[in-house]
Amino acid sequence: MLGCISPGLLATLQDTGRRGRQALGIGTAGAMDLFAARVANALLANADDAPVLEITLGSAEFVALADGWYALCGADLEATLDGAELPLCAPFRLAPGQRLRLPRARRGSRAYLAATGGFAADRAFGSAATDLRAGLGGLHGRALQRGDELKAQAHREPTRLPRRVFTSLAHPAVVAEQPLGLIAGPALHAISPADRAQLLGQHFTVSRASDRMGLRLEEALASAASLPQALSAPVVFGTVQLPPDGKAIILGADRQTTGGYPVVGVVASVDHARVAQLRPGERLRFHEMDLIEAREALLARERQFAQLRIAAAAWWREE
Amino acid sequence: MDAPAKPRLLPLGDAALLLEFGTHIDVAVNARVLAAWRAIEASHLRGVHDVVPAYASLAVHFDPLQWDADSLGERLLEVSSAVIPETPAPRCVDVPVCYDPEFAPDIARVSAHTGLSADEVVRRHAGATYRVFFLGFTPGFPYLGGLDPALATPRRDSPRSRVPAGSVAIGGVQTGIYPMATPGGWQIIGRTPLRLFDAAREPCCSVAPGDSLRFFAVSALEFRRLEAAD
Repeated sequence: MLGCISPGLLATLQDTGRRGRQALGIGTAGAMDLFAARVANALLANADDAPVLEITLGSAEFVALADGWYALCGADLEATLDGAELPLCAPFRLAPGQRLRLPRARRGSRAYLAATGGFAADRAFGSAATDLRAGLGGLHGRALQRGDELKAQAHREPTRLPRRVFTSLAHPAVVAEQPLGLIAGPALHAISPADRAQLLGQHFTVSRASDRMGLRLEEALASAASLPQALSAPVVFGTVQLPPDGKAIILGADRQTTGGYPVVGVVASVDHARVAQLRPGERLRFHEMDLIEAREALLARERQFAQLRIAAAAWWREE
Repeated sequence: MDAPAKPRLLPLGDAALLLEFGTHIDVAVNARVLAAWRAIEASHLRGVHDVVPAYASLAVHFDPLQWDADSLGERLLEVSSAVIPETPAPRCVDVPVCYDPEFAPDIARVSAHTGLSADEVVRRHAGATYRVFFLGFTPGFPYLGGLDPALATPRRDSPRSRVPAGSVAIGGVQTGIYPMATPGGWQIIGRTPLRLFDAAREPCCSVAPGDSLRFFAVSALEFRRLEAAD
């Protein structure tokens, strides 16, 4: 059991998302950095979709109200346990009265705290994901507040401590160094060649007006205003929309089910985690990726994840 | 009549495919979309977790670890080519609306823009039969076709931060109902006491894609009676 002293900018219970109801206009919600959430769960031998706490950018503090095991992945929010630095991506124990602080973002933007068995949460349409707009799932459909208590759904003790920490999976990649894979969308060849060259090569700055619905980019593409109006059509996580002002939007977990702006492309699944970890003011680039490359990159990452899952399961097995 | 052409298959990233049946708002095109939607839902393909219809296209969200886009695309064309549009009997949903000024903050603006009196706006809005093309924007929000073109009014210059639940509104050539309090930029001309979306109810949405929908005017007194009863 964990008490919330401060939720920080935004803390919500999330899982792999609400699936199968988008035809009713019910969005998926779910963890922005789904991969980090899955890694945190795997470290505790939880199912992929066990509810985790998504913590945004820092200023968050919790106190343990009972003994329990946890794991923290995703952004580096300079986490400390009773003042001592806490490594990411390794299980840790909290005893009653111990304080977990996540003061500020050193790297990335969203951290994921998992508990054994997942945190207890309301479920709606088969998912615990908090949908803030519709008021579904999580903690009564709302964000975490001071004084809230979070309960782990199972108690589990490790049989032995992990011998190594999977640091390669723990930290979000630095986006500026490596471009995001963009799978071409219908409007990619409708924008001007100059805009296309800018989109697939130049840097873009993440605007302050970015949230779980989407990341807004500051640099404008001039030919956007002359694109024909698009009919409302389904959108996905990573859809890159181009409104008439030319400032692209990368859609996130709280996107609507359909959208009416022209679509220049969709960020490859393997790079969704890096989209989730970008902070306002940070820069990114795109490069065009085909479906074969995207699938190979995803399969490679999932092989790595499968190894982690097997290794971590052994830490918790009764001997 | 010639057999309709196959839908165009477009990747929507590496975890979804778009089946495009047309590029315009058209009842016959939407009927093909919805027939394909029902057929794909009914086929329960493994690794397919969401099938989402819109005006003229539908998206199939899939697990890229279980499918590559080419194989799934072939399978989807097989499944959706075998169907006849509009299999279920079309259902008509009647929606009570109070068009009184207390629920219709923008009806004067619609009057001014269209040159029609407020009574004429109500008469025309409640006199038409609409088609639910699909649900989107928020849970249970119906995208309706069939608005009298004379009622078309541009959206507000700046959207409201909170549109009350049940608001009935006009945005350009479209009309719709806000099932829950959300931000919104359409012109509000009335309010329904019906709860279009209720997560605790089965079915949770009052209307479904493909339904017909009619509005009928009720008094403020009747509005409150229906609101209390729902």
